[in-house]
Parts: sequence; C-alpha cells; structure tokens
Amino acid sequence: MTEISVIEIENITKVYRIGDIEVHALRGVSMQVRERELIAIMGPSGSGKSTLMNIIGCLDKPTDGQYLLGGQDVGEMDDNELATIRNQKIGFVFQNFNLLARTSALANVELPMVYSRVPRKERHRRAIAALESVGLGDRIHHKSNELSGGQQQRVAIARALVNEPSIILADEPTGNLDSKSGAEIMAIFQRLNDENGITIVFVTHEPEIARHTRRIIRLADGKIISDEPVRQPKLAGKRAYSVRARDLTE
Amino acid sequence: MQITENLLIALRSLAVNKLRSILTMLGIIIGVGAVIALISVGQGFESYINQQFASLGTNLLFVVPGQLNNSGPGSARSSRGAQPLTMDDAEALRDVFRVPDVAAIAPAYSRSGLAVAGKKDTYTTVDGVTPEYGSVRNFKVDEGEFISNSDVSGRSRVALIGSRVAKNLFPDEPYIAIVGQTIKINDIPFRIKGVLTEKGGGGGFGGDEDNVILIPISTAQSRLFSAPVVRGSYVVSVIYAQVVSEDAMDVAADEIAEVLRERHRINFKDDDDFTVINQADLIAVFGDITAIFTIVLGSIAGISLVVGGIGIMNIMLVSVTERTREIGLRKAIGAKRSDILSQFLIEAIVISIIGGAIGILLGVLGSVLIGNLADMTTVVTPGAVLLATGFSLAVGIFFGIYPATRAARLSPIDALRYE
Ligand SMILES: Nc1ncnc2c1ncn2[C@@H]1O[C@H](COP(=O)(O)OP(=O)(O)OP(=O)(O)O)[C@@H](O)[C@H]1O
Ligand SMILES: [Mg+2]
Repeated sequence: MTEISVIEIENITKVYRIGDIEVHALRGVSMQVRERELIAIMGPSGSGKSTLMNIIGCLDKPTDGQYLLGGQDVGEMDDNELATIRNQKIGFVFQNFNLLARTSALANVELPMVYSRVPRKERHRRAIAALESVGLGDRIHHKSNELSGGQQQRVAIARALVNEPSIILADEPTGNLDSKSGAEIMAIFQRLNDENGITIVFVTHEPEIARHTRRIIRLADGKIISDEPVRQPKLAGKRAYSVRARDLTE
Repeated sequence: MQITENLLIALRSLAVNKLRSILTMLGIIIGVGAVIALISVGQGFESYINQQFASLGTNLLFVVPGQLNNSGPGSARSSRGAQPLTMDDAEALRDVFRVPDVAAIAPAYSRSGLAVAGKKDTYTTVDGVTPEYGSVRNFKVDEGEFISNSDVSGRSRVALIGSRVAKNLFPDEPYIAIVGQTIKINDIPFRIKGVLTEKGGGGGFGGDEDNVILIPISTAQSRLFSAPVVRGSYVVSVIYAQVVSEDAMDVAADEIAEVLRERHRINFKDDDDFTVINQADLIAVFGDITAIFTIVLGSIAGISLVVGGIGIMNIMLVSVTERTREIGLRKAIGAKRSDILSQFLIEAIVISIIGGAIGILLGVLGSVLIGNLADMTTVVTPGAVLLATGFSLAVGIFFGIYPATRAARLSPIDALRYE
C-alpha cells in the first residue's frame, strides 16, 4: 500500500442556515484517504455522513476548511472544473440509485461518457463492459423501472465506474437493499478495490457491511470520533463471483 | 456538447414523456394554426374587396341624379327639384376643355327585363350603354363584339349577354353557338352580338355583374323602355366618368359639378341636384372596414397565441421543475451548466418546430376549409407563418430556458435533493 493521499481534508465545517437557525452539520473534520483504500463511514443518523460524502464528491462545498483532491485545491475550482472532476475522477453511488427513469440500463451507464464526449461506438462498448463487470450483461436493454433494487444499484455502480475514476464514493449504497443484494454490492466493491485499485469510500449503518472494509471512520455530531482499521476484513469475493456466474448462466 | 448528441438527448426525453410533449406542443399548434387561419381569412377578405372594386372599373366617378343625403339608406335621394340627368348632360361632360381630367364618359339607362330564348326565360338587368361602357366599367367580350357607335346611332336591336344569362338561357351551348341567335327582351327580338366575360364574385356591389344584358342606349331609351325626354334629350340613369388618373379624382369631380350646375341652372347658393360619387372614397371606406376586420381577426389570433404561449410556459415550468432531480443527477455525473442549458434549449426548439410545423399544416388546412365554406380565396402569407412560428419559438425558448437556467445554477446536491 502506498502512502500517497488522494483525499486530504483539513478542518472542514458545514453550516446550513434555515432562517435564523444554524445547523452545524460538520464541525471541523480532518481526514486523509490514501490510494487503494477501502473505507466505511459510520455514525448515527444526522451525524453528518452524507454532508461529508457530498463535499468529498464535489457535489457540495464546505463552509470552511480545505479539501485537496489528488493534491489539487478543490476550493479554487470553478463550476466547469468541478464538473470535470465529477465526470472523470470520482464515481458517486447514491442510496436511492438515481437512475434516469424509463431509460435503459445501457443509456444510463453511457450518460457520463456523453458528457466527456466519448464517441458513440466506444461508449457502447465500454458501457456493456461495465454492465457485464457488475453481472448485468443480460439486462442491458431493461429500463430502470424493470430492474430490482439490487440490479438498479449495480447499474448505478456501472455508471460510476465507466469513466474509470480513481475514486468511488457511495452514500449508503446498500441502505435500500436486502442483505443478499448488499453482499453482492460489497463483492463488487472489493473486487474493484482489489483488482482495479480503485479507492472506495462508502457510508453504511450496518456493522456487517462495514466489516467488508479495512478501515472504519465513525462520525458523531459533525466530528470524527474514531478512525480504526478492521482486524479481520470479511471477504464477500468468493460468494460474489459465484453469484456473477449464476447470473450469467440464468 | 455536440448538437447531434443534444438532439438525441432531447428527442429521447421527448419520447420518454410523450403526453407532456404533446401537451406542450398543443399550445403551439393551436396558436400557430389560429394565427395562420385567421390572418389568411382577413387577407382573403381584403383581396376579395379589392377584386370587387377592380371589376367595377378603375378611377371611376358615378354621377347620379338627386342629392344623396345623410338621413339614412331609406331616403337616399330627396326628390325636391331634382332634375334627371340626360344624354345632353353626358355629351356636355365630353368637352375636353371644360372637363379636361375625364378620359371617358359612359351614360347608361338601366331597367330590368324578362329575357326569353326558346322555352327558357330569365329576369335580368338590362343596361342601355354606349361603346365606352366596356372599357369604363371593365366589361370584356368573350365571344362576339361589343356595342359599336353605329349600333347606337342606328338603334339596333343587338344585345350582349352576361355569362349568367348565357347559362340560364343556353345551358349547354358553347358561346360561339350562342352568338347570332335571337332572344326576346320584353317581347322585342334582339340579335345576340356577343357574350361577356365572366366577372365572378357574384353579389358584389351593384348586383351580380354577370346577370346583365347590354344593349345600345338609344335602343333602350326609345324602343324598349320609352324613357322620358327632358329638355329635348333622353333621360339616363347614371353617367360613369373615367378619370385620367387617381390623383385627379377630386379635380374631375369639381369639373363635372361645375358643368352640370350650369346646365341645370342651379343658383350659387343652392345645392347640387345630382351627386358625384367618388370610387376612391368608397374604396377608402371599405379599406377601413377590411383593416378593422383584419385587426379584429389578428387580435383573436394573437390572443390564442398568447394563451398558447401561457400553456407552453406552464408546462415548461412544470417540466423543468419536475426534472430538477434529473438535472441534479446529470450535473452529479459531470454535466456542465452549458450542457444542461443546451439540452433544454434544443428540447424547446424541437418542441416548437414540430408543434409549429403541425400548426402551420392545420392553419393552412383550416384556411382552405374556411375558404371553401365561405366561398372566398383565403391567402396564407409567409409573413403570418413567420410571425406565428417566430413567436412560438421565442415563447418555447424563453420559458424553457428560464427555469432551466435556474435549475442549472443549483448545486448538484440541491437539485438532487429537490422534492
Ligand atoms: N440541505 C440541508 N439544509 C439544512 N440542514 C441540513 C441539510 N442537509 C443536512 N442538514 C442537516 O445536517 C445534519 C447532517 O445531515 P446529514 O444528511 O449529513 O446526516 P447523515 O449522517 O447522512 O444522516 P443519515 O444517516 O440519516 O443519512 C442534519 O442535522 C441535517 O438536518
Ligand atoms: Mg445520510
């Protein structure tokens, strides 16, 4: 494992203002994520996990503090540069999937490449490859509403990795799924992390899911209260591959 | 982003939301269709009026006996002391020194009569006219010849019949076979000397100009109707004066009035006992009427465009608001502000163009339909088409872009969180 930090945040705060009331969602968070890490973020509801993920994902801006992504100061970037970061460097996976309605899995996965001007043929090829790598090679023409929750989340993961980002961020990716589908997602994450060297940070409430990582960061009330390694990471890999093989032969 | 790519995105999202796309288009379709149909009706009416005046003859003054007063249509002329117009009056108006601005004078003596040919008969207007009548009143001969000077001096029993009369009396015969036949007008036989060219537009001013028979004025006055004689000269119903140019209409009217006042010995302080009607005045009055008509139709069409525009606005606003999350997602995976804007711009343009095209089609169809039902020629002008499409395009773009700009400016997370 190298010691290069891909994500470096320093004393990040986030204050939401609703009328006269100030909500301190983050009260000075500092952390570093090294290349090829697989991290789970945990914490009670309202502790600021989503807020943190959105800031790391360049979807939102901190009220104060510094954020270096691959050594670059994100605070200095304009809208278009941030869009390029979201498109090229970071793949984001949402709890509620956020697929385009009534649109095929293929078109959904192609979308990030549309915005990076990948030629159509190549787009097609890469989208199919990404869908196959999450075990959905036989579902490419299904509309998003014709897929199960687990399948929709796998489409979302395919979409997140199709532009070959170095980081994948996921906010409760298994939150809406049963434990079996959750394990499938974990298997995919472990493989992407292990084989493709993608840095992955995700939020979860479930200790079982968190144990698939090598590091768990706990938040409470807008602050990091613990940051410790997992002694015996659970491996979902074996099962995931068998699942994938079964999916393909179905 | 490439235009084709955006076009595909736009077409896809239109296809995904078919009903909404159709509803949005409906506003444009109705607005554009209404503008085109109604403006075409207005223009058609205008050209109909102009055509009616053209068939009457150009630069015409009508001289009629008596004073037209303003007490209403029922009492058009006050009979007190009115002297009729006579052939000598008409002759006096031919004086090029006293009436230099009149190019031609055509007196006419008109009555109605029963025309009979074989077993068929028809009531028509019988106009006793001179050779000048043809050019002054814009009557042309389809077959045969017009009334000549010798017909007038010889009081010949010759007649030219209008196309309607020809149709009524000789339903299936070609004009060439009609010429030379004999008809009886009020029991007096006439040889048909020619058939007049159809004027069309039936029932315009001065009645149906195709339902007429023209005979020499002398024949009408002396042999057919026994017209009164005043001051040693036959009475006429009307004297048409063709003026040399449009600019000279008022001058010519004054010249005519001066000659007639002198001939009728009207005192300086008394009113005319005749009236000179200026065709240009009539045209101006009708021009005002058609202009008002067109404005009224135009405003109705304009209102429907505005209503259509509000419809577009409404649905565009709803559509963009409803798609705030979609915009958020697109931004979250790398769409730039300009990508979002051009997506909505192209969507709005596609909707407007498709809707506009359907609207033009329906508008043209409607205008043809109205034209057929109302028996008039409706004119679809490129101006109306341009106006209508331009307006709906502008509305579509404006009301598509405005909310899209707002949504595109949101941070992706705010857009994604939008409920
Ligand atoms: N857009 C917003 N406006 C105002 N307050 C907000 C907003 N988003 C989050 N908050 C507040 O910030 C705090 C942290 O919210 P956040 O969504 O980060 O929590 P979380 O840890 O993700 O919780 P959960 O586990 O329930 O998803 C909460 O108190 C929340 O009410
Ligand atoms: Mg959350």
